[in-house]
Amino acid sequence: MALIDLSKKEIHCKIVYYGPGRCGKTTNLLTVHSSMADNARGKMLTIETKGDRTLFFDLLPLNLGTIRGFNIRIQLYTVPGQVMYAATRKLVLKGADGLVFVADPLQVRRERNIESLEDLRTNLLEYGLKLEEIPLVIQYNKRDLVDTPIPTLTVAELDADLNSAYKVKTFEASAVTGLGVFETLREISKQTVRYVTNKHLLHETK
Amino acid sequence: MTDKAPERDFHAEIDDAIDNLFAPHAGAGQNKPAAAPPDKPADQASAAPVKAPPLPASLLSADGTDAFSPFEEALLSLDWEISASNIEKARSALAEIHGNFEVDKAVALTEIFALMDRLLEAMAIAPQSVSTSAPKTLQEGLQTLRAAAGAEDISLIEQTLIDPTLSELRSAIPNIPKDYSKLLGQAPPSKTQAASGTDQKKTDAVKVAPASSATPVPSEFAEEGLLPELPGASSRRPATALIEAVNAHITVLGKCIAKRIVPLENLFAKTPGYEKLHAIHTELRERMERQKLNLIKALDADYQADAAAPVESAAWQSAKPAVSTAAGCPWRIVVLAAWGGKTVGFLPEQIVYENKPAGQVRKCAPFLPMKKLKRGIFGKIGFVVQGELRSLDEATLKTLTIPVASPQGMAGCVPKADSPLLIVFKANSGMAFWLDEPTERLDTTANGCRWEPVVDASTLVAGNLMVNGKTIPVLAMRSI
Repeated sequence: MALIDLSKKEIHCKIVYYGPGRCGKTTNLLTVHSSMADNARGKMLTIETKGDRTLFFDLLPLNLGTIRGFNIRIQLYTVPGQVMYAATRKLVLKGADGLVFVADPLQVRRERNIESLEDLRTNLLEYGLKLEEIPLVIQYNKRDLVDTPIPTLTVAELDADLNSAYKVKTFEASAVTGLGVFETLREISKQTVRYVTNKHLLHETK
Repeated sequence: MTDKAPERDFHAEIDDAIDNLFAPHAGAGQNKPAAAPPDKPADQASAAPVKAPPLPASLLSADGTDAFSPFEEALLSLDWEISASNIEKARSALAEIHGNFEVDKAVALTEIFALMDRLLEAMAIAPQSVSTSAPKTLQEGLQTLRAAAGAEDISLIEQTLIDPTLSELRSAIPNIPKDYSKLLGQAPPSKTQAASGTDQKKTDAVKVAPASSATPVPSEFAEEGLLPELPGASSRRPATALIEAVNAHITVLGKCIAKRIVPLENLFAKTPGYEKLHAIHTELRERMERQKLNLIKALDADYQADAAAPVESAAWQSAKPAVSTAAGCPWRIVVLAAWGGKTVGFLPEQIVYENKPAGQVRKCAPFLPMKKLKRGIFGKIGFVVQGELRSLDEATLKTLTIPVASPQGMAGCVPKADSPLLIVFKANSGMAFWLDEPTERLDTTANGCRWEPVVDASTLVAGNLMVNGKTIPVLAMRSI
């Protein structure tokens, strides 16, 4: 649920990057953070273990500027992908207005992608949301590995596994190089802000 | 969603704002090098191709894949989910790699293999205590193994690769409390089944640990956490240090049984209302004795019965059945006495009192308060006792109460009016005996006696002396 403060004329939209462990969710956010101008980004909060894995979540607030007098902020979150953090993942998902599902193209993680998407669907249902109803884009990350000997899935295979039911927009990306990161973010931001404003703001301002 | 004109305008404004915000960055990375995150290595870095040196034929299969691939795949699975099956897969793949290594390199890399296996074992036993970076650490270990496999001279990568990897692996292995051994196969099934989802998963993971162990060692070894992967996979023989450690552990176990468990067990056995505690201690003692015997069996010829044990402990060390053959007597002097109509032996160093006590001592009581041994109003207990009790202060001696032994098959009040009293005491446990007659000393060397230890450690009989065709049971406190 977006946070709308009519007195301050602020709208906060929550976009969650979801996906299996080590698929590159945090790297997406780091890339966004490092590329954005200071005036458009807030402080990036990362709670980590002593290793390099996201234990809880990353929060990156982005300022879209003022639209019709409303200051629109987008907050990007990631969830811990590891199965053992199911509770945390579910908690971060609460109140999400938009979702980016980051898929891992490694052959050996094919099942993990499917399981993670199913996990996402299940968790949303527990919050009374259907995956079909909430803005969603799918990012096929790590495309830079396609040209290496590491066995990877083709886009068609990923589509068949993950997007045959939802038919949402997909983006090929390489979070480490920045390829496709902003295209993904731009699309989900548009969808999410529209979703939020349609749902809340337009009704209020009519 | 309706698509009326004001809304269209509004949406257009949103799109413009978002485009303006992100457009300058869109397409990043297509024409320019990586905008790598500043603070930490890329998430996918570990998955990037590694230019590995050529591998020896033993580590390559017919289809060109190397022996590391299954382990790498297992690690990727572990990275996603720490589960029993994933851990089992990884451990067997690691054992496979170890088996295929050239012998000299396998020996040189033994510690890395052992630590990696221990880390996997720790993940199985207590996944919550393992850092989430453990799969990455294992990945680094794998890269080191790969580099070592292709290296012509392993010493060249010792400082640059092997040492840092060992350090990483060591720091990644969590310090799991000893209590985890209880989880290994000893948890009642009902509790396991009743566990919640997460707990169930952990328990499953725990269950796999002993089964998936690549080394065929007795479960007790794994249970005590004594054995990592044993060095020298080909011979499968424990290292000398390990043998010493296990021998020392057996000794400590024996002492623990004798000094801590049995006195309490005996005390509870004789104290009304403490039946439950007695049963608990009996079970505990039996389990510890089973474990001790299993360790002895596992060590086989490497078992050193008296390696770390005190000299006088031979009686109880010899309780192990495997070595219960008759031998020379471990003591030069044994005190013989008639007790309950039989001749029994005592160890002189355990005797702390041997006399006819004053009249106020109740001879039929199950316990003997030491303060009753005091002679006269101003007498002190310390004056009448010897041996270990002599070092105790008077206040402590006054509080001591010693259980009185009853001869087997004889109940009720046995001692006569002038029966001598003999008390044996060792390491906080003692026993009083009302003898039929005063004691005499037997020189075992002069009489050519033979000694046969008794297997059953639950009795006071440490073993039997065979002198001139006569068998004399020797009664000794277990605490020796």
